[in-house]
Amino acid sequence: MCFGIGAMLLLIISAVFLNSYLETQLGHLKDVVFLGLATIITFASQWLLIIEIQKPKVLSFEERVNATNEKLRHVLNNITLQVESVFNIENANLSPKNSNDALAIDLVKCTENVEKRVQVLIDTLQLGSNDELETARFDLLPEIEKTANAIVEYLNANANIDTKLREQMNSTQPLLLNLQNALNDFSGKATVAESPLLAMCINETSAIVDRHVRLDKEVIQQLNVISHDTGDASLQLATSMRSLSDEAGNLVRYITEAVMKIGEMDGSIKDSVDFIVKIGYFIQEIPDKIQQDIASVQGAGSVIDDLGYLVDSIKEISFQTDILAVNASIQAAHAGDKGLGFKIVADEVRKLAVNSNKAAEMIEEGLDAARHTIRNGLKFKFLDEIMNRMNEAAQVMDAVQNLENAHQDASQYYKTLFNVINSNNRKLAADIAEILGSIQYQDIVRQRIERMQFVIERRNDLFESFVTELESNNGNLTDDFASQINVILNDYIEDELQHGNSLNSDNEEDAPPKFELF
Amino acid sequence: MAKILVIDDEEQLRDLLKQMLGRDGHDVQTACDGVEGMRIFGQFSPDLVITDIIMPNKDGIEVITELLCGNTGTPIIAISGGRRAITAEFNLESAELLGVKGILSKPFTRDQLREAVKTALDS
Amino acid sequence: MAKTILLVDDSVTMLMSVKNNLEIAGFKVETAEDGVKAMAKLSSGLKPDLIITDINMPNMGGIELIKKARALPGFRFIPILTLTTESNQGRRDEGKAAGATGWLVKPVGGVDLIKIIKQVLPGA
Repeated sequence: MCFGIGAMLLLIISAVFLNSYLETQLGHLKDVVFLGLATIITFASQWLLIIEIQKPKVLSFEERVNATNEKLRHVLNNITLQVESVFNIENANLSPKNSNDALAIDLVKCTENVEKRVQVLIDTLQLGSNDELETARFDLLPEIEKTANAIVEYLNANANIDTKLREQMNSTQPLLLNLQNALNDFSGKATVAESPLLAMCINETSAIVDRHVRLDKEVIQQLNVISHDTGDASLQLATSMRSLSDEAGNLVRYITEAVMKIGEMDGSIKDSVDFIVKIGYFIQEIPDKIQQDIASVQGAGSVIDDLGYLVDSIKEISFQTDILAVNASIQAAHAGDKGLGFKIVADEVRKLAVNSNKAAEMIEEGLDAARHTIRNGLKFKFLDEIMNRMNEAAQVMDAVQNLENAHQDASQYYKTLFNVINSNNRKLAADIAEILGSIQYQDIVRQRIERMQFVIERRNDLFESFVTELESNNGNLTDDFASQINVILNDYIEDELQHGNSLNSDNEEDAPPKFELF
Repeated sequence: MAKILVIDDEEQLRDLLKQMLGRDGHDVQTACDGVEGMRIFGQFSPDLVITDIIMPNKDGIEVITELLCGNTGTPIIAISGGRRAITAEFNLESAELLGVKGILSKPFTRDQLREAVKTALDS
Repeated sequence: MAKTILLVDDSVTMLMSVKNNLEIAGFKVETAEDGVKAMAKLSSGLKPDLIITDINMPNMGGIELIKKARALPGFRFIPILTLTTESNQGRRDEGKAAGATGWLVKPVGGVDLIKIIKQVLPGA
């Protein structure tokens, strides 16, 4: 990358010098400034695309003058060094023509002159007198021009050491860049009214700069649009996925709770059932026992009293089963068609809960009968009636079995529901991950970036051909450079507009619809 | 032919399935519930599992969930006749939601079984 | 009977996201990465109920694919939608002239896409 930039810069610089030789007019200073700026802006703008835009430092006039002075001093020192080193290379490695030597010496002299003049300039700048500044500027310009001419002459005469020189210049080109920068700074400060050519050059340069900046702004704006679009889409996606995930989580929580409740009921139902069954058998045996041992019957009375509490507990369980079934039925209704199967089962469970309640009532009745008989029927007036009531009490066994079945079914139902929903939830999580990973915007962004890369490549090509043209030494400068850049810019904006991406939100209404049936 | 594990708490059906599948040339092992089924699965490494849904100890839904979570890739056919309020339809729909390769509502014919086994093994 | 959609796009991301979207909605989806591969599928007997194609693709782009598909026997009335970043009128006109049924500019939301498809595929 650095080498590429260096090579290109070198081409530009060489070309400028070459051209300056052919036309020794002040106007050609503009090429130096122009190319310097253009080059700097080209690469600076590319870096701007890569790194973030940095706001230019706002310096006071005094600071700028001081900075410029510093740069000028530095640059001129280095020009001298460079020219000397070119001279040294020639002496060391090649057998130069006499004229070359003379030219080289001229060059050094010119450079020395420039240095002196610049020193004056620097001094006057420090004094701050406008008149002196003007004088210094007018003195400086021809000297710079002379230097440029001398260098070009030297280059022409030393075509055979071109390569060596290029290598050399390659190492010093950052310094030349500084010179160009410094010149630019200086131009900006000088009063341009008295120098129409310079003014023209500055105007033209700034126009080109302006277009460069506009191009870069468009590109940067695109990057902003991209990050905005992808950001919005991602947010929206994340929000939807989040709420989806939450919904699924709620369902699982509900089911987990239901399964837990069923589990809790498990123990108490089993205990009750076992006890009731035992009592049932006991009741069945009562008639015999009554006949055998009245005392033991009296004892049974208190046991039967205890049963009343158990019946209450069965009723409570039936009530809870019913609530669960109603909830399940509501959940199933939310699930739509898919939940139809669940709804039917939920309704069945509900019926059984109701049946359980009836069973409990039957138990209660039976127990009441038994209690009543034991308490008051010790007279044994109507033994047959007692036997009937005892049989009725024995039917409690069936009711208990029904209750147990209903509970088993509810338990099975919720367990299945829990497993299915849990498993689907896992799959849902995987789907969500996949959706988050694959969004359409990725493709759109990719294409936008490709178009950006294309426009930058086009611009680079333009610079290269421009340099080539200058190098070809036909004096025919690409005067339409600015308009060509403009064409690239307009093409780019138009291209983006054609891809359903209006750069200005004002145009949105005019844009073609996102969906159209022919 | 394929190695098939049949899990069902009904001994009669278990034996019948073993006979039917064995006659078609399959190597069949059976288990009486999910717990035994999972144990045999580990030793037998079957190409196909046929499981009942409502069973004691560990039911078919749990077996299916475990096998599918374990990413064994073994296809599963769920069979069910339902019990009281829990219908076969509900059980099989649940199994399908979990991702089994086939479902059979009890009672089923030998051809239905063959077809389901073939489809599941080809998947 | 699920309707079959042939999805053509050179971006795997697009294929994956749209395919998932359509499959969740109950469609059967076939994919191809460019016009040439899509034509190969259509020529070897694939008869989709709808084709959704990108425009800018290597080997064979969407416009050419629409033209070639329309020329196949039995493909005169099959709806063909484009799904592209291109939104300008010129390209739309080209698409229309080639025989496209509708023009969709990326991105199209998942729900919207299904709505549009149901519009061009009545009964789907």
